[in-house]
Amino acid sequence: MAARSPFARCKIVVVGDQFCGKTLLLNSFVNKGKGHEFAIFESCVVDFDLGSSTITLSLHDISGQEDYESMRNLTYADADAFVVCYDVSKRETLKNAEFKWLPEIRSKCGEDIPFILVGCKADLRQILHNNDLHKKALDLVSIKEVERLAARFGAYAFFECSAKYGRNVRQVFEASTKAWLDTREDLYAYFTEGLYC
Amino acid sequence: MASVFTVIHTSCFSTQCFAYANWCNPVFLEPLKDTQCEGHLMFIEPSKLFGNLDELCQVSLSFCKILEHGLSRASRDSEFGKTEAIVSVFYTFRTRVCPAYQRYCLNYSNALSYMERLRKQTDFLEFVKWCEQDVRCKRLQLSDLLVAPIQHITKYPLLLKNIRKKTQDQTERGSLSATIQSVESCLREMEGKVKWLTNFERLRELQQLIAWPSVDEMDSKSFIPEFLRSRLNKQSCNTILTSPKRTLLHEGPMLLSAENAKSMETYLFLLDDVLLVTKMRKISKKKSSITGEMGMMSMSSQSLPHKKDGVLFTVCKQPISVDRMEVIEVEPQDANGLKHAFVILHINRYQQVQTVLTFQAGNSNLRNKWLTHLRAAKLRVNELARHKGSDNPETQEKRSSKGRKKTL
Repeated sequence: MAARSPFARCKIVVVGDQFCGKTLLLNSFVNKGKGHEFAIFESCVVDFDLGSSTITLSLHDISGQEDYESMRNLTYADADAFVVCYDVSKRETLKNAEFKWLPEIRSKCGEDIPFILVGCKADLRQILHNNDLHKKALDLVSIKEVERLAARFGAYAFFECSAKYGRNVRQVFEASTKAWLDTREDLYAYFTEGLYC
Repeated sequence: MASVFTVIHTSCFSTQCFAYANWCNPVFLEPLKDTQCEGHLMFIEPSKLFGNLDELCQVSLSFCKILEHGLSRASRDSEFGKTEAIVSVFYTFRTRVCPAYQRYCLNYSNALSYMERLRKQTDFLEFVKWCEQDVRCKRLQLSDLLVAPIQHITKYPLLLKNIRKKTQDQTERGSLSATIQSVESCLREMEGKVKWLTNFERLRELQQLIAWPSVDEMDSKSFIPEFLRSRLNKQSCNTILTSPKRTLLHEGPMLLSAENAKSMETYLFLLDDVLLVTKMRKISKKKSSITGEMGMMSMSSQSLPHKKDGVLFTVCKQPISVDRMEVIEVEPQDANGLKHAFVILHINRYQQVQTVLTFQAGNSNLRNKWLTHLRAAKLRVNELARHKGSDNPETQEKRSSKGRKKTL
């Protein structure tokens, strides 16, 4: 099967601030929502079904390494795409995406490294609004802000997702895989045929 | 509730630890040794590739065993004491676990470049592919597995923090916090060493790649007496990069504007005390099959140029000592066609402006990053000078004049 060819392997690294939801996002994707809140994510390889074909994803989490730049940079070697996470309920995590994580992955993996922006814990948006917690709701990151940032840095896509309820989780990894395929003209046509049917 | 959580969580964690520590020997090292006994793959040096992974596995295995043992004994004895058990086991973290991981981390980048070299051998590739098929690898590749210990060690604080979250007792929380702090200080120390090493290795690499043209090449007009020619043929400053105290703060390509509207592509290196303006040159590479293509791909991604990309840098302007440098930002209203520009004035000891360099960055982000780094470097040098100046003004003067001689 062509999907098993060594080239159809995509290394995705999930970065972002501490406690912004990276690990839960990964666990929710890999274990189909059966992970618990405190599980630790170990690098793993999964087959990802893109419709007509399958791509092998190798997934990596930098959780625990947020404060150790040189050590986490060792994980970036040969990365094909990044998922840059922020917490929709904490504005400073988006600031850090802009001033820390994006510059870092670009300087280590090149200006053209494909990435997508992901707002985690989107379920909090509803909760804060429902409970009339206006003060906290003010701190919510608006989609407009993210849109601007995504356009400025050339993000392939941006999402809000809720790993807790499994909302948009698949889409995150589908988009990051497509972001990578986009840079690989040789593979793009072959692997995306099924996507637009 | 909390103690049940602690037990389950810790054992989950150590199961992952066990699983990890158990792959290395049977999956890679033992088959390699077996094959080498039969006289094949002799070119692979296991210690260079795997470092002290053996020791690492033993250490983390025994650590996990003690942890589980301590926990199970604590749960037999009473309902409480589990936090205590964990805290007491973590006393050995600094003395036993950390040093092994530190050795591994420091060897890791060497191991990585060694693996790159080995990958040119088809025998090695085949062997690795065969090993990676083992189910214990879970389809991870050798490079993923080699970096795993470094990802793993930083998860210990996460384990402890999770346990703390579930602990209500204030004294227990306090002792957990103290343990977390101690583990984190170990990790910070490790990070510092890795950082220093990364920088040192980049500088060592650059030392081989940066060429210093002789005085004759730089200034062909001056007359050099014949007897001095052989002596002046070479510059002796190429060792300045690898002083263990120097750090590389920033590097990157930059357009240097010239009078006749022609600009020159340069590549800048900012060290903590000096700014180097160089010209990057790509050496024509011999074309090889797949590895050649892969090499080109990594070049096009615009990450830092490395030795393997076949590049050379020639110092094309006089090095600018950071304390003799003035950085001026070009405001949009003064830009006059310049894009994302800034100016660097090289001012000598007598306040005479010697050189004016006008640089244009690729975009405003890149420019701002450079400005931040340049200003920070200047600030730090001034700060240092003030400290030293108050100690002994004589030495400071001597030092800078010595530096000047070197650069001129």
